[in-house]
Amino acid sequence: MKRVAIVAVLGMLVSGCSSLNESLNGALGGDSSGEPADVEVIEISEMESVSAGSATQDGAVEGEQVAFENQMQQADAPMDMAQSANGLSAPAQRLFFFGFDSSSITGEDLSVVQAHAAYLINNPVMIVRLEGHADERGSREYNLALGERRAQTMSDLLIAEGVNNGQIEILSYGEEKPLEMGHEEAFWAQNRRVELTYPQ
Amino acid sequence: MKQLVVLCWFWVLGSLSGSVSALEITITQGNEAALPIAVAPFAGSGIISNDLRLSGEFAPLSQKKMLSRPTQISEVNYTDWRLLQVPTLLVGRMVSKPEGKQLEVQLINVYRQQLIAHYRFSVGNANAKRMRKVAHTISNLVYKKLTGADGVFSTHVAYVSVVNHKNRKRTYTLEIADFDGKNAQVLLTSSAPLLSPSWSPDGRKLAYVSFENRRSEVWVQEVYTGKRTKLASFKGKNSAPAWSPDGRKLALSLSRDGNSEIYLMDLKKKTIQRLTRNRGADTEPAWSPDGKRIAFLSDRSGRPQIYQVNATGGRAERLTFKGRYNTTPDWSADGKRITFLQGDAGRYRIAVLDVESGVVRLLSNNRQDESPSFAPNGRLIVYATQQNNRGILEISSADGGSVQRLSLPGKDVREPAWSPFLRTK
Repeated sequence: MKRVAIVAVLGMLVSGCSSLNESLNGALGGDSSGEPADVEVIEISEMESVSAGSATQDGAVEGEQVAFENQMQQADAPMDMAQSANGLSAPAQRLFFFGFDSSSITGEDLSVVQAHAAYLINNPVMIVRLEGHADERGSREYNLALGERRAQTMSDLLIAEGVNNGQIEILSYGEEKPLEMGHEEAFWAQNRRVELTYPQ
Repeated sequence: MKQLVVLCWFWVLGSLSGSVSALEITITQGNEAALPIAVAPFAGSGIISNDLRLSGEFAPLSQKKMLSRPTQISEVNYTDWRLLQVPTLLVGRMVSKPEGKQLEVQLINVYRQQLIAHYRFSVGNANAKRMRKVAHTISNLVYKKLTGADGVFSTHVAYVSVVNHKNRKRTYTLEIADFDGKNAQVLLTSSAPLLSPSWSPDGRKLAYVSFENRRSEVWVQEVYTGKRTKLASFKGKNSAPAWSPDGRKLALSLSRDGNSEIYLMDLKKKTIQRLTRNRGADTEPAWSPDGKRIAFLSDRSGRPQIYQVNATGGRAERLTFKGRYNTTPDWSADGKRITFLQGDAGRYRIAVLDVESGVVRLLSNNRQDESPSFAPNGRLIVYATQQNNRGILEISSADGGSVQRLSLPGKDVREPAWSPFLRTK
């Protein structure tokens, strides 16, 4: 169930700008800065807050941010339902780390992923979310692809173990949501990860 | 002595300046070394001086070193400027006229003691914002006169700014500023990550990636109205928007079919066409200026490298071979060069590839650069880098001769995208 917040961005006519811009437009481009912006309605999801403004040719921002409740905390600590489902528990390990530019899952992590697979097979109504992340180095877009590949690798493992494709959600935040904020390998290693969660 | 006087009024400036054949100053040092110039004090002179410095092609004399401060050509003591070895001088003064204030600016060849050009601007009440615009326009005129190239002083840079709060929350803003980092305006505020802004070719829209719905989606927003629409929200990853030069298509990286591939979206019909098909991740499409080719990043070889493919499809051609990490391509306006990010031995630096010869030149000398974006005249490149754990923007000349820091005090910024030339509809 989704609560939709409505943000109305009200354009304000910045007094004094219209006459100023009139003579600028011919040479410097732009034609809308002197007019009041339309009233605009933006739908947003319940998790994140967004508000749009607009630029003017002379620096004033036409738009007013309407504050509303930000429930992002929920995004950072997703409700984990796995412990109570069916009387069985999923493994406690939900974080899986990766080498630089790597999407391989090895060693003990492999057996933990297999245990998650067993849990999902025993609880076919459970959904698992695999959120891939990368460290801060290099291209943000490539890191988005890398995070997705890490999540995809884990998804492939789960499916190979027999988990139903429909139980798995994949997403990537790339380097945008680091666990650690530092700028050296000790921190980067913590940020190259897949977070496995059981959202309701 | 022949003097050519060019009177440029604001509203006819574009058409007039193009048709004027003025005396050209001889640039002895070419563009390899910055050319000395002096901008004597007048309203807006500081901005002009900074513009010319940021271009990397001029070395404006500090006002403190000036021996005299003329405001028009009749006041110029040429010996003063010859002593300082300044070949070119810009002077200006505000004149009150019945129809309002005017700024008169004169560009002077010191050695020939000649007027190169004379500009007059109607400045209204001469407030700071107006003077800033006028100053950038003067910079463009002076730059064109002295180099023959179009200046980018009236263009914008879009970027994402981040504020870190306690409890790990962040506020992301999509902003545009004048090319020098001043006059920043917020276009979007979000609690979720924003990235990859891409300008429409008319400079009136920005496409970007937003995570506001807890997944990557591509949105388009009108810069001057704030109106925004969700463009790509397919299953999987929706990212890396890049506008075609004719404005009709958007290249995207989508994983809707299971793997990260390049797609073209027809913006009118809202249809999509798949362009790449392979096991590697393909992303970061960038259109050649003629719209015929698309450079992109692929790790199909096992490492991220830059490829190009015809915009109509077909086989991709690999463009980068040296280095284990080459990403984020962006074409120069003449289509001859591609700037990109090269990672080597733990350092990430901006490089320029000559497409024809394959020669790569490293531009920056930092450790953690990102997101290079060509200026629309192909002479400058803006990119993000880190300083004291904060993202900043730098501008480098495309030949690597000059690096300047953009003034965005206190901000943590990334993802710069240089606007096209901004023209009237």
